[in-house]
Amino acid sequence: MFGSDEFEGGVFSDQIDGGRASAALTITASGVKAVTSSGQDFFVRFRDCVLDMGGASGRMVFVRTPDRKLTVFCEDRRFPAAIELDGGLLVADQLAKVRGIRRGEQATWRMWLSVAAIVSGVCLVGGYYAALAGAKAAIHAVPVSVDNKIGDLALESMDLEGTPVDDKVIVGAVQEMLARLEPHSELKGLAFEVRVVDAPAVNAFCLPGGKIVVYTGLLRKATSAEQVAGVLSHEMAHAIKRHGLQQLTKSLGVVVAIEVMVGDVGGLVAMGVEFAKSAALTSYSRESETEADLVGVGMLHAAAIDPQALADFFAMLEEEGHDAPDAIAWLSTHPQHGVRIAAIRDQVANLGGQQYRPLAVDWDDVQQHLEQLNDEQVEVQ
Amino acid sequence: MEAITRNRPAFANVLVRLNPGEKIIAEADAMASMSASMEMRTRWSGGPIKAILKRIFGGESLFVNEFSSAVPAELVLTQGMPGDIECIELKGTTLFLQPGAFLACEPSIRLGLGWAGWASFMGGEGLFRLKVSGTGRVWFSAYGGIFTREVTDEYIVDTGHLVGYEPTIHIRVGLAGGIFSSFFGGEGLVTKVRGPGRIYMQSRNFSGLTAWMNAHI
Repeated sequence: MFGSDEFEGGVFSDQIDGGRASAALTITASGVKAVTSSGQDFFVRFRDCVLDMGGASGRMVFVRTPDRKLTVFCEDRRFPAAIELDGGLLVADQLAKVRGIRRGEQATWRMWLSVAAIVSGVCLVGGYYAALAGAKAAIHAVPVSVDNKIGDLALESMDLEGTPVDDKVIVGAVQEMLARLEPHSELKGLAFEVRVVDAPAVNAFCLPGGKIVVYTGLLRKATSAEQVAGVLSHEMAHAIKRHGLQQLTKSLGVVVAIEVMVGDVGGLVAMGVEFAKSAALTSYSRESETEADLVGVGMLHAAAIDPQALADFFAMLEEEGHDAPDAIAWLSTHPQHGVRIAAIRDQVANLGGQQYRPLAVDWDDVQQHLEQLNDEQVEVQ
Repeated sequence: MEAITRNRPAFANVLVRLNPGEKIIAEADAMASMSASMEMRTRWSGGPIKAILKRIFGGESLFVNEFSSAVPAELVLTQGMPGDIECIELKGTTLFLQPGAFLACEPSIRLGLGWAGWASFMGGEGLFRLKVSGTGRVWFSAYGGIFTREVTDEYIVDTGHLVGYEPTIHIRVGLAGGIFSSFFGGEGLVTKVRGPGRIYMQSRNFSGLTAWMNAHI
């Protein structure tokens, strides 16, 4: 143990076997005394000593003779103050200088670390957006047949949670909407196909490739065929803009990174299909939803179907959603309704003149057939 | 305890002869062969928390092995890479070792982890370093040959060649030359060491080997 006026340190000297040794340092009024573990003692006078600071920690103090043949060193934080106390003016200037150099070095390091942190931050954020943009661009190079394949596989293995509807009036009405909209798809090669499923969910979705599922809950809720066409156009826009594939790429990017880290790349394909299934039922990014609105309204307009119907349907769902928010699944996956209704109405107001034609669908008849479906179910029960 | 370093420098290994009551601590997986009478006890490298920190930041194993024998016995310790092994005797002094360099020590040596600083990190030498201190012998290994230098003022070492150094050595990272020559001359960042003190260097750089292999795969 070292006393309060004794410090743990060391000595460099040619007189020591090996040139260095650990030593107990004592500060006297005239200098620093060092006694090595083997009993050799050394003394450096304050009067002509040379001070320096460094070492692995950066705060080790070296006290040297002018000819540098003898150096004592100490890392104790109390050591500089102790030699300043006893050495007084003889060491004060030198100590101030070495402390200044150390502070300068620390400041330089802090500056470089800050610069490195800022540059890394910029690179990370920039890299993220560049990767996103890259993924988006790369999707255009992927043939549409891939979308169709993923959509087919996903639909085959999905539990649609309802019975398929084959009522000609109901299915025919939805197909009529599809027939009006499909020619205005900006992406060719998609195999659009619609299925009606009897379930109370107010929902519809479109898988990659154009496989659309509409639930009777949504058809019952709609007050006109145009409203359903509005929802279809929005869902078709997701397939046209390949949002499912984009989201898949983004998410699988993370999965691939994790799998590469743990050394297992198996199961990625299966994961892709699984992901497409869950993505169909969950929400896309806000950016994708806005884009789907924009493209959907464009398609409705081009197909001469009144796009206001989409905004009306949104507004109606929102109003009812306040009472039973969980019941309306489609609304829950399409947030920011107020903003979107306004955006759709704005877009419609700015569209050029178009003579809208009603859909060749008798909506009352469709509703009656939907009622009959209900009755059939009751009978079966 | 008698220890002889053989087959130096390329394929160095340490032959240790233990007498009853003597012990040696070795890095996990360092044992190449041993007498049947040798007892091996595995323990955390300085306690679980310290061991985990050493594993993450010091590049060392979670566990160390303690060898002892009730009768005179032999043990051969070696390292994974081709290279030399150096033995130094600490007399109440300290030595810092770069991640992965530690091979073995006598039980009287303390193994700790010291903050190496951002300079070391930027130079590719890691944020932490292994601190060996006390009184006794320490064996450390390197890739290639090991050579030492007494540094009085400033000296420059290419990153990846520094194996160990005394605590009186100050380390900072800098460019080998100007910006152009540093990066296009292939030297990039270098470690600038300032004495007084002794540094231990390895004649080969493992990063250099991996870069060469990558280029040929």
